[in-house]
Amino acid sequence: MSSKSNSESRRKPRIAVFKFASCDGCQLSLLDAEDELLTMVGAVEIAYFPEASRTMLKGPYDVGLVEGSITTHTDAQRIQEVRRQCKTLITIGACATAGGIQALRNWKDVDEFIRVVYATPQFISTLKLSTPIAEHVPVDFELRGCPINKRHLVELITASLVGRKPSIPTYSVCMECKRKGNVCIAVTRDAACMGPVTQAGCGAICPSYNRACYGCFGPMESANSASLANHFHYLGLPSDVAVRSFRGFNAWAWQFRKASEECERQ
Amino acid sequence: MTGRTIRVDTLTRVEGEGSLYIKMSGSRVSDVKLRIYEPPRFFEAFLRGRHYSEVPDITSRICGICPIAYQMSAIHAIERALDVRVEPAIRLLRRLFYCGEWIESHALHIFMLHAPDFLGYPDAIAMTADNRELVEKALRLKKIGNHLVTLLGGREIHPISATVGGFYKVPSKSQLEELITDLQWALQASLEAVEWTSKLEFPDFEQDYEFVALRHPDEYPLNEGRLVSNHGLNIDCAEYEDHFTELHVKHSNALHSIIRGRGSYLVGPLARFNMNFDRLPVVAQDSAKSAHLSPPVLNPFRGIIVRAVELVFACAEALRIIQEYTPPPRFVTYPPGRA
Repeated sequence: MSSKSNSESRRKPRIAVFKFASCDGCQLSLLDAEDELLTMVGAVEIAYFPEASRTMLKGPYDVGLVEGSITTHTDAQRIQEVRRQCKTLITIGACATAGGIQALRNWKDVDEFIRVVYATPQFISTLKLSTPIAEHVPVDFELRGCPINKRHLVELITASLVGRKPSIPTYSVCMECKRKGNVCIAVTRDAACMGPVTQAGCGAICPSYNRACYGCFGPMESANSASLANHFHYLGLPSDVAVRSFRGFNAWAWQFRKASEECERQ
Repeated sequence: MTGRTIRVDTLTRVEGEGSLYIKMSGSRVSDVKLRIYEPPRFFEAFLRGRHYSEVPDITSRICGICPIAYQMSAIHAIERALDVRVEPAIRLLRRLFYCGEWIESHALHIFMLHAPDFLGYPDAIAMTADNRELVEKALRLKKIGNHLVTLLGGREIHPISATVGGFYKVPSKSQLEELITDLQWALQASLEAVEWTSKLEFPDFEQDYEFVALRHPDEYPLNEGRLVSNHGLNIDCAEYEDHFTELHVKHSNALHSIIRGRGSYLVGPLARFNMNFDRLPVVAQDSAKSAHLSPPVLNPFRGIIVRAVELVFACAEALRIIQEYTPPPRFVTYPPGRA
């Protein structure tokens, strides 16, 4: 083995964290992994993570974690550059994978939104839509959740470093709820529980705390949103409740988008 | 040429995105621009038409580092609008909830965001090379705060349990009592944090700020009180718009807030401490005194010590609440007119 390839193999993988339109919560999950953080940074080099460090090394990076949605022209250009710099690009959270809560503008007149919030609308530059990263560049893995589950993040980083498939569930919240032995809210209450179409990962916390799931992990794999919308109708919930249930933190994810628009037409 | 310009394109180790521009003529600062370039997300606009019960979940997403502050502010505003009065035990739990957020957020701020500046490291991770014990202690402290938030709220970031009128679910007394040992450790670690931060080197810089904070008749303010300042402000929060103006400046997406007729003002730990020193528990007052801190503290660099004093307060207050707590007869008080 040449000395070059030897030093190459010893080189720590370089990780970068990028922020677009978001609340910072998903990247904070990295710092919230209190038990794993010091071990993790022993195995990787945090090359770019402005929220945590003033060291900002230039790319390329082995793994790029992207938080936030694209809402400005500048960010639409910046994500192209970020993609070029990252060997593996992972989106973290509902903003980056589904446009986030700020995608509620997508059904409204964004100029009116600007006027409502800002005294001098001409100072504000924004796009009509808030869109997920995958609408702009190819994404290697989308980690769901508003916020993401920090254990998933640790698993994902570990998996991408050793080059194996990450073990992240794609089934619904119902599975977690059953395992916890919760009484089913979708069946026993007149509440718009999003659990049946929402991807697991939170640990079914809302039903465990006596409330209906509000879908913050976004659509599960092959979510049957139309069927859940029918169920809401069957429960006698007004269609505006159904629309708002699908139009939350993952409103622009196509399964939820389609369902909310169908409920709206009714 | 006597002019000098300082330009920081990316402010690091802060929540959000900003840059700073300072222009100097000789030794005088002639212009400062803090540019928050974080893209607008329009919460005020899309909250219109949402059900009141959805609002706290949505406002939480304004900030993932201090979600409780945002969800609780929304809850208080709605409860005020709908005339909801909560059970005394709910009020206590809310203070406990805030204590959890303060412990995790203050520990993060002091050790992982702020301390590296004083010690000359790029970040807390680099700090571990020579200060591993300190960083480990900080992480444990942060974890205890997060644990408290998770117990009450279901998870640490964007907790799901707080709602208008109360909590969807409240903990049992024994669940809270399980935290006592950790919180006692955290109290001790916080006292050490006050001592440790007080030994840092601070630039000699003081300014005559107007400090604005909440003030409550008998508590250190977390979630309610009147809005007061050291320049005579004393108003109900509902009168905010009569006394403050929010301006939109060209270089920033964050609105600037000024007190009418007087201009800029300072909020946060330093302001709270200066306006409410007498409301701190004895253990926090004593720790401040031993760090030679007495109000008014006019040097913003010493804010790191004040934050550590608030950490002492949050731990002591959490322990007091757990001692006093009896679960409420009902979790949620609904607004009048709702079943």
